[in-house]
Amino acid sequence: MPGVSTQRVLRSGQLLLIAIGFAALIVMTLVSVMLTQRNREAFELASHTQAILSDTADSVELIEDAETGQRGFLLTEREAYLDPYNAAIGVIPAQLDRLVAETSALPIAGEAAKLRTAGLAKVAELKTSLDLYTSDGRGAALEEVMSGKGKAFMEQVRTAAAAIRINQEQQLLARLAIAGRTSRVLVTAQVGTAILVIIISLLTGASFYRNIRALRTAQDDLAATNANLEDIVETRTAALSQANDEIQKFAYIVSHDLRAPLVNIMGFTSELEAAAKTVGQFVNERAKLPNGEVPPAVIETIREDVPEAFRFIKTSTAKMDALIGAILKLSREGRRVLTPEPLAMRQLMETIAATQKHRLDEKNAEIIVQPLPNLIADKLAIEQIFGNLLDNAVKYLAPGRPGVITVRGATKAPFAVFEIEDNGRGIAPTDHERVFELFRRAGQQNVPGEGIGLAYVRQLVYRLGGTITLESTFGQGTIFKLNLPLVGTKTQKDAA
Amino acid sequence: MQPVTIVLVEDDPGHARLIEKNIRRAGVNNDITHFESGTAALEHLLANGTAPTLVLLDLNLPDMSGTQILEKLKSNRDTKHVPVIVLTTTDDKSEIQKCYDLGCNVYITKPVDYEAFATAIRQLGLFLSVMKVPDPT
Repeated sequence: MPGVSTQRVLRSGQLLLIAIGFAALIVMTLVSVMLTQRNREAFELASHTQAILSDTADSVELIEDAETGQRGFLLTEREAYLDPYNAAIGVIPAQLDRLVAETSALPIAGEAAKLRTAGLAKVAELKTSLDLYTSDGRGAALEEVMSGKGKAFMEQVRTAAAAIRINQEQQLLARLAIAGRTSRVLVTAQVGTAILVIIISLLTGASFYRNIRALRTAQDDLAATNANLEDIVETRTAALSQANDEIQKFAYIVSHDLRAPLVNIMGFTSELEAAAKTVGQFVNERAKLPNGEVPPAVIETIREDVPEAFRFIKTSTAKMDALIGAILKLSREGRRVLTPEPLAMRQLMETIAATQKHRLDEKNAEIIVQPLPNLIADKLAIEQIFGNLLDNAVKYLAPGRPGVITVRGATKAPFAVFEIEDNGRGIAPTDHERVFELFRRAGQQNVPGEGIGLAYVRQLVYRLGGTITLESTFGQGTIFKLNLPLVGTKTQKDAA
Repeated sequence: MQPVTIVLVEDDPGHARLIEKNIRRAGVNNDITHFESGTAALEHLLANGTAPTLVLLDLNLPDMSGTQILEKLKSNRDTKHVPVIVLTTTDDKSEIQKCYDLGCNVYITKPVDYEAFATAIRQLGLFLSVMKVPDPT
């Protein structure tokens, strides 16, 4: 499983890649926009140059048309030959003005002005020659033509037009070169962007893939750990329940095997007692006779020592039988199948409290049952747990103050928490664990009991899957706290 | 008519002696054959299956459990009618039920309290004296 730091590095690396990708995209987009703009400008400039070139060519052509018309008319003296002249003469000034306007901001503005001046002068010279034809006849007109003034104007027009054309053609070439370069840069930039985007996509994708794979591995590991944990818990639970079973079996066998010799001890003690009684009768008869002569030691033995020995043997065997019985009860309870059923706890507690009524009245005490969470649990086990706890609470109330025993509960899923609080005589801190042990009792031994109740209660609580603890201040009272599962499970063990 | 023989299967000699004493005190004078192991008792019983017999059976035996003996006796054609009285220290309800299911006639728990024990045996003695009445066939 990758460590946290590795994951963080992975994540920040990814972020960096994505950031670089986006930055590159933005830069490339800006560059593209800029280059496209420059390209458009270059294109616009180129088309302007084209317009200037074409307008220059048109100007020269129109002036030549006008000249052709004048020459044709003067040569043939037919009106029809004047048509090109007439057609051109109307548009020439506008054409020249446009050219001047188009080139006003350019270095060739001077040439354009020259072309206009020369053009207009040429047109004026053509008009003068035609006017002379009308007024003074063909000879005067031809004289005007041959003066060479018109020719010089025409040459000026051609020179200026050539200057403009050469200049503009150079410009066009330069601009086309720039446009071509820009286009190449643009394409390169766009291809570069595309490649960069692809590379970053691949890198990011790979990084994400690695990340996802790491995540999935982590998830699998976690699932495996969980499954393993479940196995461990299952194994431990099985081991625990096996150990518990073995202890129960041990207790069962021991109590049975202890009982067999006890039957003999008690049986033959009784037989012996009967025999002693027979001997005692015989001794008493003999003692009554005048010459009976029974030694006083024998009489004392028969009358005092033997019955005393029997008394001690009998109370001891009776006690031993009770202890064995207690172990047997515990072991049997440990093997009983628990069958959970829904239990109305408050009602059940009231019923248990009612069984204590007589003793409560005797001791001037009361049991207060507050609202309790309901359980799904083995009824007998629950009855015995709370029966024993309430019985203890009543049994060990402090004399001299009215007893108050409170039962309360709350839900703390998946458990129900119960508290049984009394204001009884309390348990000294050293005895808090001891009271739960078998055959152990705490405090003044002035109340009859075998020391089984709490051991039994704890075993039952454990079997139900719960816990029991106590808090107590000696002389003030005790609180028993129980955690019991809200929903109990059925046990599989069959009582043997 | 052959008198009924009591077969006592009991590994504890003390228990066996106490049982015998109390049976005699109840006025039962039938022969008592005592076996300390299940194997020997089974061997004897299966060999003399047709002889009129009553079995007093302890459940806690060293070599096999009393319920096993009960099962074998009740599954054998010759011995399945032999009355069996289980007399043991076990007072577990499911164990008692198991014995009755297997076909035991009476189940008596050996009480540690000797008076109760003696009373139980004496009542058993009364039961045995009824058994003693000769079969009309």
